Amino acid sequence: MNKDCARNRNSDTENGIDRRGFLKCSALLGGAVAAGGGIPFFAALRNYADAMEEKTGAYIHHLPENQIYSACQQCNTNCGIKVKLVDGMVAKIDGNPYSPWAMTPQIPENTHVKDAASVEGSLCPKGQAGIQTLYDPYRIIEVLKRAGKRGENKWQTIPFDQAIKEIVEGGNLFGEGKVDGLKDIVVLRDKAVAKALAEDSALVAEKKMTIEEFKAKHAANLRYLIDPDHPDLGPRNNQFCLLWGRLKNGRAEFIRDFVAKECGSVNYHGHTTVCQGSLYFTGKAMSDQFVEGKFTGGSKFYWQGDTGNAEFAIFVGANPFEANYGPPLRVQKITEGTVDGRMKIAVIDPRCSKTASRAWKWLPVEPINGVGTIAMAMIQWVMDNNRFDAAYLSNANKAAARKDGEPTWSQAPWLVKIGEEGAPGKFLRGSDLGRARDTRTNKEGKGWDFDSFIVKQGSEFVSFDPNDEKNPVEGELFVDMTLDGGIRVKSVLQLIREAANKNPVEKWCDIAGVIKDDLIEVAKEFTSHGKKAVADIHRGVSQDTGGFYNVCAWYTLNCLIGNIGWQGGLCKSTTYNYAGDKPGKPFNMSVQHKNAMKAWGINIIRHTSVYDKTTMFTGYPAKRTWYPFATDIYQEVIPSIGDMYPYHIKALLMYMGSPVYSLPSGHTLINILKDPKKLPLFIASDIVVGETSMYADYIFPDTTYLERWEFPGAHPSVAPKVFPVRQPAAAPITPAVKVFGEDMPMNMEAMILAMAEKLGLPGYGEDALGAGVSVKREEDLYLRMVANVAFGDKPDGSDKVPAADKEEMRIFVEARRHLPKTVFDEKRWRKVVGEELWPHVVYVLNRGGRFQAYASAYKDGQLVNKYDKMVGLYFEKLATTRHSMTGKPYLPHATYLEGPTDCMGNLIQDRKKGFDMSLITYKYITQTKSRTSGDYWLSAVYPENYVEISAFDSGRLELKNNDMVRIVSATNPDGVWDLGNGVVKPIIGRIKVLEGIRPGVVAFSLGHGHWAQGAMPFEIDGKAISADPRKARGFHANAAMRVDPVLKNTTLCDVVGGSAVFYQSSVKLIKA
Amino acid sequence: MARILPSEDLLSRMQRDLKRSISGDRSKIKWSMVIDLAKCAGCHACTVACVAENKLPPGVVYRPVLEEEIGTYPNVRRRFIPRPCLHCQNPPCVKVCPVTATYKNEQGVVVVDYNRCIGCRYCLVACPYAARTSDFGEWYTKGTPGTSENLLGKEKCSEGYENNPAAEYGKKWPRRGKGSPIGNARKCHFCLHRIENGMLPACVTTCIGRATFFGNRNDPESLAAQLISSPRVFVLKPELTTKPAVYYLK
Amino acid sequence: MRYKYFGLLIILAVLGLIVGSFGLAERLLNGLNPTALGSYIPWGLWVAFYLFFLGLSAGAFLVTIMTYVLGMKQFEHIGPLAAFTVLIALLCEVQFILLDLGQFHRALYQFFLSPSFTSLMTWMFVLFNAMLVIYALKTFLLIRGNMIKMADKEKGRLLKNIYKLLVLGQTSYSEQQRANDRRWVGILAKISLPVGLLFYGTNGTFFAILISRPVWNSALTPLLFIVAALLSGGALITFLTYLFRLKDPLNANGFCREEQLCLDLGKIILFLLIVFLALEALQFFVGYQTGTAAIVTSLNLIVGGPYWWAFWIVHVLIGSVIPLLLLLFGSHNPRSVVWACFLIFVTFLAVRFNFVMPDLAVYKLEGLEATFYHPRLRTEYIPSLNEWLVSPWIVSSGLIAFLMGTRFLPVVTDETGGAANE
Ligand SMILES: Nc1nc2c(c(=O)[nH]1)N[C@H]1C(S)=C(S)[C@@H](COP(=O)(O)OP(=O)(O)OC[C@H]3O[C@@H](n4cnc5c(=O)[nH]c(N)nc54)[C@H](O)[C@@H]3O)O[C@H]1N2
Ligand SMILES: Nc1nc2c(c(=O)[nH]1)N[C@H]1C(S)=C(S)[C@@H](COP(=O)(O)OP(=O)(O)OC[C@H]3O[C@@H](n4cnc5c(=O)[nH]c(N)nc54)[C@H](O)[C@@H]3O)O[C@H]1N2
Ligand code: SF4
Ligand code: SF4
Ligand code: SF4
Ligand code: SF4
Ligand code: SF4
Ligand SMILES: [Mo]
Repeated sequence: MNKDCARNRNSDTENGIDRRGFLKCSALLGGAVAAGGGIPFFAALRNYADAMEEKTGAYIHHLPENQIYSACQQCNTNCGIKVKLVDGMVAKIDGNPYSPWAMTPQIPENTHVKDAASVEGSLCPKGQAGIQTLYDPYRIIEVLKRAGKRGENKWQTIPFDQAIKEIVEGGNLFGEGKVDGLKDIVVLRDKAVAKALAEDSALVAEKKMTIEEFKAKHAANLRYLIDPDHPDLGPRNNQFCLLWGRLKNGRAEFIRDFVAKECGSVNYHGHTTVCQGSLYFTGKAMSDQFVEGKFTGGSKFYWQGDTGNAEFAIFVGANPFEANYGPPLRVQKITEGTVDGRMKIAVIDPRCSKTASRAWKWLPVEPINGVGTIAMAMIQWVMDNNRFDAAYLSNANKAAARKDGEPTWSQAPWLVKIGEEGAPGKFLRGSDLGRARDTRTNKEGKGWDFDSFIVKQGSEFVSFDPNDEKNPVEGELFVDMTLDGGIRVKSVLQLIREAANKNPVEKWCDIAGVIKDDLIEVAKEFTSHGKKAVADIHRGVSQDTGGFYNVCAWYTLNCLIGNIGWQGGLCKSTTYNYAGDKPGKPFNMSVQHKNAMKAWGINIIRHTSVYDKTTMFTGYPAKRTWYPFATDIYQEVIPSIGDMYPYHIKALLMYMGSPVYSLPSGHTLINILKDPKKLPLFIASDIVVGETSMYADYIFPDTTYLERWEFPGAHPSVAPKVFPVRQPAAAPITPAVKVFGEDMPMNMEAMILAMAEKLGLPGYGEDALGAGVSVKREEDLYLRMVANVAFGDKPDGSDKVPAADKEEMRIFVEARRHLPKTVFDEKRWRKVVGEELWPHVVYVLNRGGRFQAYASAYKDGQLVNKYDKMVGLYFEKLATTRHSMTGKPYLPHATYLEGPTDCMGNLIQDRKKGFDMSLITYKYITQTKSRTSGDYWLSAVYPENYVEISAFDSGRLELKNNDMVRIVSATNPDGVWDLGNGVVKPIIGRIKVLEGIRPGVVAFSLGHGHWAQGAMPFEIDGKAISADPRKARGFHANAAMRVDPVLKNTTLCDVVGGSAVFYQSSVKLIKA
Repeated sequence: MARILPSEDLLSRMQRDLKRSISGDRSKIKWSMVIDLAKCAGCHACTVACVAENKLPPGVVYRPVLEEEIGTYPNVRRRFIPRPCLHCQNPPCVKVCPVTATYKNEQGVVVVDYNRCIGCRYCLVACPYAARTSDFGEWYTKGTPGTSENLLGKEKCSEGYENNPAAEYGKKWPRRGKGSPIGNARKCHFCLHRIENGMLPACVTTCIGRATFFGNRNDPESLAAQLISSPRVFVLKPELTTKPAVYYLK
Repeated sequence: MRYKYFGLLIILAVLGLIVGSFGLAERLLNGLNPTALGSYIPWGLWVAFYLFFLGLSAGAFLVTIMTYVLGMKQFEHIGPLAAFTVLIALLCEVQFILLDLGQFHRALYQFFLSPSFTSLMTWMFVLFNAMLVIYALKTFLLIRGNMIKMADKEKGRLLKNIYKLLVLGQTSYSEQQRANDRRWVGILAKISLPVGLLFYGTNGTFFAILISRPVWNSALTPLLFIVAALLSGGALITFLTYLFRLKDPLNANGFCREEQLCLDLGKIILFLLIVFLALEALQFFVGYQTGTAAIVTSLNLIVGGPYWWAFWIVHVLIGSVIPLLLLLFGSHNPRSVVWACFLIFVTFLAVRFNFVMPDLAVYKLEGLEATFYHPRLRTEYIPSLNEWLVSPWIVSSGLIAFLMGTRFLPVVTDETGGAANE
């Protein structure tokens, strides 16, 4: 400071009085005196000087030219972010004020970026720390090829082009014998041949054609098949399998469609079932509609509460304060709601989660079977006390719903035929009552027979068409009778009631371990707000062996108050169409694959195919579970590869996933991945050497969420129609590579394009999207998708966003001055979408996406972007399909299934064997699975996780705070992770004793106990890489979770909804 | 029957309040913060946002969030108490500073002049709320592999978030090396550098619970001023008569 | 003056300097980073040493007061030595404090640019400098007479010139000049009495004004500090006097002059010890009576905390009870008196420690330790190697200066230190 004075003094003499300098100096002295209690004049001067100092303006984050709007991906909430750049590096990340994730309501879309520059919304701590994920010292920047055995964690760096060549062409890549390259696997390319084989193999499966006939007919092409004796397994292309963890739109079109639509493999599987599978697949079942004679078209989706408008919300196994989708999006709505008096919340969770700590009621539920039983008890109480919305429920079809101004209608009054042993079967149909079918023609002009459904009205049995918009039909809700024809029928709601009445409320509460009066109070509250109450459920409900039925029961409960589609009720997500497959849209992206063969055959996890309807059928049980009603069964992919059932996978490409770390009992995968015989080629795309990618043959470095494109979509609780855009904000840290003659950063897109180029696949390069429209770079897809969104969803373009004005165009380019040509080139980008659309695209990019105004998302007490179709409560499909392991049909409606069970439905009772604690897991706000270990700001807040137990158990087991304990289970008696490379990592953690956790429960938070990503030393090009102890802190207890006793190499699983099971393992704590 | 939707986020309201104040007579400004414990979700976003905004080194923190569990099973509550510098209007820390490196500025913000601070740490000892920490020149990337090892490496990462100090007090500070603020006392400064540019403090904007409010308590129009008059209001350790400008709501 | 152990002590000091220089270098290169200090225990070993030397200077100060203010003749002979000791002690103190500052170069000018007089540290700075000036002058006036003599007696070129320089080229020293100096010494002594008391008091007030520090925050603290300083310092001086004793001439009861001094000092030490223990007892009594949670926890921490032994065994038993008995029943045996003094000052670090630690060791907010993790945000503190290395450097630098002074300057003379024999 005195230096300044000196300097300024000089400057005084040199160039007259330097006012600031003068002030500053006098300020020092003055300040001194003033502080000494003296002369106010000096004090005033000093303060003035301080004010001046604060204006010296070294702060430049608030200038629009230093900002790019994008989307976070530290967790899957994908909040809108504002990335602030200084000298070409990310200096700070904040919330995007245009995004409904970061503000409620967000600022108006037409706010000029100039004016938005100093406005920012909220982010969770992980979002704030994203900069350390981008700049993680352990990020890989070259292609790594294993130098030792699989998992030995010794690597060599090799040139990108060489890696691509080796992978595509194969050969003796590791000195362990010949390895098939992709070109040896992706053999069937001919569309016509593929089609012919596909159709006839289906006939064979349906037993309409014999194997001999088939072989004779296709003798020339049998070489394309995995197994000519089982043609329905499909072509050898299927032996190339893609497995991804976190994959969103845009990037999905890149990597998934490369495998599915260009390489023609049916094996492209996501991680849904490790996440909240049964939530999605119950949603799929419930959204099936009656189309042309069958129930179909259900979409893989789920509902969440309209957080900002509900008057009462029950969060069941859902934790919006610490996890969920997600804190910035939902917490504000809850805190403002609860504190400012709009809403009340109840939380059903074995832990007093941070959400529970703010709840009006916390029900510390028993993990193993609690959530299902509470649902049953609530349903029973609501029905017995007639607190359900009878008017809504009695609507049997669309017309009836419309008449009442209801967005949806259910199957509650529909009649179902009951079989011999009282098991419900198919719906009662007109034909059963001897009523005529009427023949209708569909759009393609094909005819089909309509056989009406039946409800009871007094003595009448009324026929109806669920989709009829003219004749409203209502029916009685509780029917149980035998028709004159001797057919026993029950209404759907009757069946559900019977399920709920299996036990008296007391008994249900006992099983759930909750107090009856609490439950009744919650049920009362739930039914005291009309349609503005909601039960919001997540992983705690879905990740059980009975997950499908738990979810179904809770959604049924919501249905009882008819809250779907209503403001403050159940909400679904809606996004702008980016694929362009709608009339009027500028770019129809689907044409990209018009010349590629269509994938067909049974996939490795046997999803959406029925065991006894394939040539693989050899009686019950099957070798492994088949999944007719779920897809993306994460925990089944690698174990099936291990068992080579139903066939051998030759190459596995893994993207942004880490099943070994993230799956329950993920340790079982290690032995499979380690074995080149079971899995000859394993390629991973990752940003570090991860817990699973460390077992790969090749790891391709990817760009992180801050350096790349993606379109994250939305979450059910987001009421407005949206389309967030993730776009390159930081300059890529990976080197540039050349593909299709273009320079681009080394990342997933480059990897895929290079493989496609080498394989010579039709959907890439010149004219891939039509004459003059090529696909050679990532933005060739991404910018056009953004253009589709900018254009909007009205064919006449009236839904188009405004064009960016000159100033916004300038800011757009300025803000990207730090991006290399390999990423951003204004002329090139402009050319991709064309002069006319360019300013509109910029408008969207300048805002990090397109977001409908909050107010426009609601109308007359309903959601504008609502689910407005039939809500299925009874699933005929399930009643008529046989379980591959038992041969029995599945239960077709909401009910309670005791768990945990193995894949054959047998109860597992480890508790009896002395494993006296139930292991549960949850997410701490600062941690994610594998993406926060390098975020040192976060480890300062939460350096390690704990073995959390109740004060009761701490007394019982004589365990105090900070005691170290080992977690052991029936299937992991040693309580270890055997990494298969000589390293054995014990599952030992530090005890934390809490009041806020149910006795008998031990909880641990996700995200610690890493062994890769720098948590342990490894080797590149013979150089030892030192480990960072901070990354290894804490423990990870997934390996203590129960392994399925029948399948032996995978976790327990919900055989209907596909969920991997996280909350039903019994363990023992042993002092370490 | 349809609920009236909020017309704007409280953040917008507070930012308007703030802009009104700084464009008016600055000598009338007295900045205040209000933290609503009933709305705090204990997410620690404010802690990390502050660390990120001010590029704080290891061991230096301006706004930790205290967590406590109250009651016994099953009647349990958890309470989260964020603790920035409370900007005491009667600040013990200021009295003890031998060289007036720390003082209460005109707007009631207790600041540290890094160029004056001799690093005696008397103020650390004097603050009753442990709101001051000293910069001992630590690095978050200490001990991570270097660029030479075919990874991104330490050097590039430090460049990313450690080498270039934040513009605290609106000043450009020397590249992080031996000079200030290393060796100085550091503390929350209400993000004066942001206020000067019409922005709310980083911990306020990032607050996912909308539990942290900021404004000019001399402006009766401001949300902050209105909240201070809430019956739920209290301050930490009132018996010490430090007169914090940071208020809490029960 | 020549005395035994000189060579040995020099070697020790030089070793200390060599070893310490490593620590010093690291400290100067990497600031406070190599220390184990943190934000919740911001002061550690070096401040403890500072307080220790503070005590030492206080002891010497005590002697000078007794000699030149109270005119107790028996001490006159160690008067100059005492004054000189104060000087050295002050120089050690300032080194410890400077090196403890995060930006110590600024201390050199910032105190002049923007001092704050609400801060006790500023006053310490002022009073410290006052003491420095007073004692520099005092020492000078006390020894210049003999130095002038030595200057022309001295054969060695170097020393001769040094002496010349020190006496500002003066060659003769008249009786009346000597009287003059004596008068000035008297005046300076009288000034130094209030200044000194203020200085030592301030060091206590420094802690006393901290409202958030329950134990320190009391009017007793400054008083406790003064007494503590005098006690520890007095004890140390007594020990040193004994250490540097010249055997002859023995007096009637077979003691040499220094041994006699030790007995006299012993009486004062006994008095100070009793006062100190009384004050301390009072502190505990009042503390527990108020029943304020914070105070009680801190006091409990002292008597029952992890460092209970430092209080009970080191301080109470070894540092107080035994010396008390020795001083009461061995009052006419120099050895037992010196032993008592030895025990008092060696255990005094424990007293300092007990004073500083407990108040710092309680987190100021409940749960603070679990909010943000870093070694520097904890209340455990063990001095780092660097802190241990820097300390001997400073101590040795002081020791060297002391040895050189006592060896080559006439601070210890057989004749009553320059006192005129009226
Ligand atoms: N104990 C416990 N386990 C859990 C959960 C739990 O609550 N408790 N939660 C479960 C849930 S909800 C889920 S969704 C799963 C998720 O599990 P996964 O889908 O397997 O996802 P992650 O474990 O996050 O693995 C991410 C991998 O991708 C890498 N990666 C990160 N960023 C990028 C990138 O930009 N590009 C590429 N190519 N790779 C990247 C990381 O390094 C890591 O290797 O975990 C489940 N596991
Ligand atoms: N911090 C953080 N947030 C995240 C993620 C992350 O990794 N970290 N990941 C995102 C992803 S991918 C997902 S899928 C969501 C998941 O979001 P959520 O499902 O809401 O969060 P979880 O913590 O997985 O589990 C929710 C709650 O279930 C409780 N629970 C455990 N066992 C039981 C039980 O038996 N019964 C009941 N009723 N409750 C039980 C847990 O205590 C926990 O509080 O979070 C997203 N948000
Ligand atoms: S919740 Fe946090 S981590 Fe997840 S996306 Fe949002 S800001 Fe990022
Ligand atoms: S909280 Fe502490 S640092 Fe902040 S003003 Fe008050 S005393 Fe000073
Ligand atoms: S550390 Fe700095 S601010 Fe604190 S008292 Fe010392 S000089 Fe003042
Ligand atoms: S106001 Fe700024 S400096 Fe203070 S705690 Fe908040 S973010 Fe940190
Ligand atoms: S950001 Fe807000 S909600 Fe989160 S801890 Fe800080 S104050 Fe609480
Ligand atoms: Mo998930």
